[in-house]
Amino acid sequence: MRKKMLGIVLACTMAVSALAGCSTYTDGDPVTDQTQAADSGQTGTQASGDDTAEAGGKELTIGVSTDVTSLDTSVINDNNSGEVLYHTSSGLLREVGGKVVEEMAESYEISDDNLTYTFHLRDSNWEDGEPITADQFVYAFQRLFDPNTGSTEYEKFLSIVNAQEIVDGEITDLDQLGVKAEDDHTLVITLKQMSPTFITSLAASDNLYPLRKDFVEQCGTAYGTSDENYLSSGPFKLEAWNQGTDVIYVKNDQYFDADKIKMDKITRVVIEDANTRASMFDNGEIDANMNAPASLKDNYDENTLINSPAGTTTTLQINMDGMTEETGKVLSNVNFIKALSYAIDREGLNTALANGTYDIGTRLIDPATPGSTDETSYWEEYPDISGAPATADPEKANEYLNQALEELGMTKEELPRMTYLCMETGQLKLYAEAIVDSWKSVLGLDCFDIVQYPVPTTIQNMLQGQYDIYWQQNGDDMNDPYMYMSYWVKDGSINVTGWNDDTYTDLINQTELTMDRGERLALFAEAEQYILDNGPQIPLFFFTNLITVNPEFTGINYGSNSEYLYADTVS
Amino acid sequence: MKRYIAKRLVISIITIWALATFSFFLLRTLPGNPFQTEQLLKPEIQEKMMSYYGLDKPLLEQYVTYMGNLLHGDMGYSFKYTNRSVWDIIRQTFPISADLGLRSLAVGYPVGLLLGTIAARRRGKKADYLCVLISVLGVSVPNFVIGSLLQWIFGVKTGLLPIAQWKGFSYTILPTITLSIATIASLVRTMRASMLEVENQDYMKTAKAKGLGEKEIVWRHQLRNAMIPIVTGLGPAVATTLMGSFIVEQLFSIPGIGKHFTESVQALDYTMVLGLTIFFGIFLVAANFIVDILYGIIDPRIRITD
Repeated sequence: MRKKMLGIVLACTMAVSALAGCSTYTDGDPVTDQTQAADSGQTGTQASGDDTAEAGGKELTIGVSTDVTSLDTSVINDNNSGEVLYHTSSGLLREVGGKVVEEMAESYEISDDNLTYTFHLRDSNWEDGEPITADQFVYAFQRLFDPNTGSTEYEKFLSIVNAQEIVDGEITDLDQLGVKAEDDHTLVITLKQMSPTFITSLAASDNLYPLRKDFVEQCGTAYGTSDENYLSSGPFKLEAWNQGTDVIYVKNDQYFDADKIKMDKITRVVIEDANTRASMFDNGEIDANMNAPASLKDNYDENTLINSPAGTTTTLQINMDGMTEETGKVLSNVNFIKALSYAIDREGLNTALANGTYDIGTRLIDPATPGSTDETSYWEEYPDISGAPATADPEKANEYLNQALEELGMTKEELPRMTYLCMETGQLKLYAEAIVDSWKSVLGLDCFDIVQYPVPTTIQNMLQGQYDIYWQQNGDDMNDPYMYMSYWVKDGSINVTGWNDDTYTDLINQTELTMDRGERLALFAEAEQYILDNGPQIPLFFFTNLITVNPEFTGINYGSNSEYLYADTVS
Repeated sequence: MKRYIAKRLVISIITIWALATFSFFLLRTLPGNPFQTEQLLKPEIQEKMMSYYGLDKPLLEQYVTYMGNLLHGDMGYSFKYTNRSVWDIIRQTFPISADLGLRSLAVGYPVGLLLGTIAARRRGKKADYLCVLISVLGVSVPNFVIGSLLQWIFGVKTGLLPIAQWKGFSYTILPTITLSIATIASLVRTMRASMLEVENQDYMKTAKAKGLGEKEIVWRHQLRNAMIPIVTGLGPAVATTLMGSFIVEQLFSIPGIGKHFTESVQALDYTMVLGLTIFFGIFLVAANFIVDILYGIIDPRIRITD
């Protein structure tokens, strides 16, 4: 009996250790194994600069929070996938540090009626040596609009002839799209209406990189789901995508501007936990942390720390129709909204909850928005637009509240209970409580209920108007205010605020009728002040993205996304 | 025995079917859709995506399609990880979690059982208090605290071990310890209590009365009988441990299956949630089945009868 028992125990232990012995390590090919061995040996304080010297090339390791979801340019709609495509693909134009530069298009002309764009392509090759041609861009455009692709990011390009019809399935012949290849090096795009943002949208888009039809069709639905099912056309070649672990890029010799690319190898490591990522940076295991926690800001000096706009306008969105008729009556009162706005201490919230890293929002259009000249920004040209104080203004807040109550014919106690809706992500609960608390202490109002749901449920509720106050975080197009501002036009499809204003809608529509940036920005400025005075958005913050970079490296920054195209070592 | 296995198999299949069906409909009662991500898609685009993925069809029709595909082993595609099949994701991530889980069990079970036995044998002595202290700490200190502490000591301060990732043996040490501490802690308590309970049984007295040696009594009678509750918990424990831990995997940046359990529900990734639920269900049922058979070997009193 005893022997049998021992036998079982032994057998179990052996089975377990045998199974545990099978390696599941996320190593790739032998080449990466070697470098990983080198990496793992270097766990001390040794700087990675020495390490790269040994390998005979410049190497960079960056730490990020989230993995790529797909490498299919037509279907992606997240920053992380966009970031990897940005570094491994070449579109017509490229956005570098917020500026539009020519990439595959050596030059382009716009016709006098602003409807025809002619792009002249330069000579460049795919990673396998095949030339990049105009019809590959045509295919990329067609595939983006094709309803059989399952893409979501075509909205900014619906001004192209027949794009809307193809998206809606009314036209099934994709060749009728207003994007044509005249020859291998000439691409002509025809618009059905003028679009002042067309060029900047094109440059900022990660959804229109060239595609090789033969290759895409050969991969079928698997296109872009693994490193084998992807071809690079850009500055870097995608060497490996170890899903959930890392993406490895190597310099692409076929790239037309390969001289400007200094790094021989970049490893993009996914470290989900913010503190783990910070520890790895401190330990020299990663050279850059592309998303550092604000709480650790004070641990780094200014040579290491870069704080950049993240392109997000954060507001409290008011449902002027109300969740119920009762709340609608109160919330459609502009003075009541003003009272709520003036009672919030934005500076205080920023210091307490974000370690002072955010930009304070007293207006709506992102501070990173460029102005009408290369030197100035929109904020510098229109510094006086304001709809809220940076710190709480209790006196004015109460003034607005009393005026509102008078207009409503109500007392504070008669106000109905109102629902504050936000997502169950990050620190939103803390913000909600701090804001509701300030309404209580400054205005003496105790009628707000905080409701939190998972992301899809929250959005569903918001879109159905099941909220009174909603924590709204909207991604901005950092080049141009149009996208953000057009959300709030009359009957806009995500404008579930009950605010349908003709004056505002006219102003926004007028911005689409001129190509002159100065003129457009003047209209946006007028619209911005108008919506701040009359509309449903209480500005709060502009989020920023904190990154830490080992001072031995340059050229790593955060524009509208992580950029390390021109990364280099100092020495 | 054969009839028993056949019977169990039928019950298992019904269980899995019920699980799949129940989850399928329950999941759809949640408000929202998989395309309502933080990058707010306009409702008209959401609608197009719903019809592209066939989610606008009647629910019953979708259910029949899904179950039909499932019979062919097709779990569908993830919505979040566009065009990657659910089975591919499971196939890639599960072995890593299972590897880590097995390592932690291989450390946790022997240590836990040993400490539990020592605690029971040295009841009321210093060794006992030490073991109980370890187990109370292990149960009450959350594993992200233990994990962060280990990272700080062995990674940041001394630089002996890598802080995170899953690239070689040295990378596995810290997560294995972190994950095994909970196992050790609960085993020490269960084993100790079980050993003490067995100690007062009649057959133990008989064994002592007939003059058996201390070793003989502990090995042949006490330990064997004390193992029964441990074996009962073994099935579910193995199944849950192998299925990964969201927190430990996130902390140590291990690309296991753990995060998908949480992430897919939050993102309403329907096919992913269902795939994981069914996969986990099959695994759990199988683990329990094996434990049932193990029972018979360990305790002759529990013989499987038809």
